[in-house]
Amino acid sequence: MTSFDTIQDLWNLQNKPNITSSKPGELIEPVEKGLRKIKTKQYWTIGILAISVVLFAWYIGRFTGLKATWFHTGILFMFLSLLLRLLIESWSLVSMSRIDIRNDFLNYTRHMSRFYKSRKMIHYVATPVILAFYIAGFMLLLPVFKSSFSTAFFVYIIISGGGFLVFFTFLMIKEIKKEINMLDWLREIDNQLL
Amino acid sequence: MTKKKEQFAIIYEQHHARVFKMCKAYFKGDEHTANDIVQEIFVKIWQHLDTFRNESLISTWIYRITVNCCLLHTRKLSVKKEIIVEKVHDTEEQEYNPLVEEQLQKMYVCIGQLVETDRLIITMILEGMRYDEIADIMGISSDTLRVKIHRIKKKLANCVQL
Repeated sequence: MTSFDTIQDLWNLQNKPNITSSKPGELIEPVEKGLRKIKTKQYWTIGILAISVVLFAWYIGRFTGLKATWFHTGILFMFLSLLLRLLIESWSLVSMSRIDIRNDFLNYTRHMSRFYKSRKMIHYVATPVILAFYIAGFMLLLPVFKSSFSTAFFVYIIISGGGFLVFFTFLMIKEIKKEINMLDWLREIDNQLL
Repeated sequence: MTKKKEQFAIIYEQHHARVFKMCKAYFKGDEHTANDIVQEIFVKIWQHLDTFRNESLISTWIYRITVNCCLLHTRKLSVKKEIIVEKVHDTEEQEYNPLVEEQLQKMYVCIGQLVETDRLIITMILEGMRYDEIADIMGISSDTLRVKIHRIKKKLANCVQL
């Protein structure tokens, strides 16, 4: 008897698993409920986002007018950069959900790698551009803020705006690092199978 | 019960224990994580059951989902963080044998020391699955699989030395 046969015997000796995950019927019901909930939530999210965009456009058109001023360009830059980020993230979510879990392991790992490679491109190309546009938009608003608000409030806007940017950038860097680590790990998994 | 529910019930009955053992070994003996991931696997199976077209064995289809879910879940656990092997004996009806439990624990520790893909392969081997089916699940050739299995068995035997 080899050492591995001993391991095999030991494996076979294992007790029956402690099933805490209930009966199949009990499992199906919450699953179906959960899936319906997720779909409803997705529709609500899309609806709310669409309404927000329309309302924002209406507000600009109605109360400030679509004029070619630095102020409006600034608002437009900030708005478009946020919208672009939102679209990219939604596209990423869809792409991720389209990776077929029924694939064989190697194929699945490779699809995941491709997904994270595309995310890397987003982080290295799109994210800096979006951030630059957002900052540029904010800077364009500053002269108007300076002339419209008190010095104290203007300083507050600069500090809070700057603080938000630093915080947001920190979060993004953290997320980027996590995704790059994931890509490296998937490559390692791929190499393990070769 | 609808046809889908009946089919799911049969799958659950036939494969739950094996899927659980695979997950438990993959997650280094952690029953709690294994239970969570097993639920997730059966949710996926339920979601995709309509798309199963008998192009492969149902077991191959199930274990593909299993290994991919394990991979996904490893990521969620922010990977490589050590899962401590706790008690292995909290199951019902069978006699508690401290020697066997100790050996089982050692076995889980050794399986846990293997790289992710080796861990998946060895659990399928230990579950007595056919080589061609494992190759199909992992997406590699049978020859590559044979070489890998030989190496994994050697590594595991060296580590366990019961």
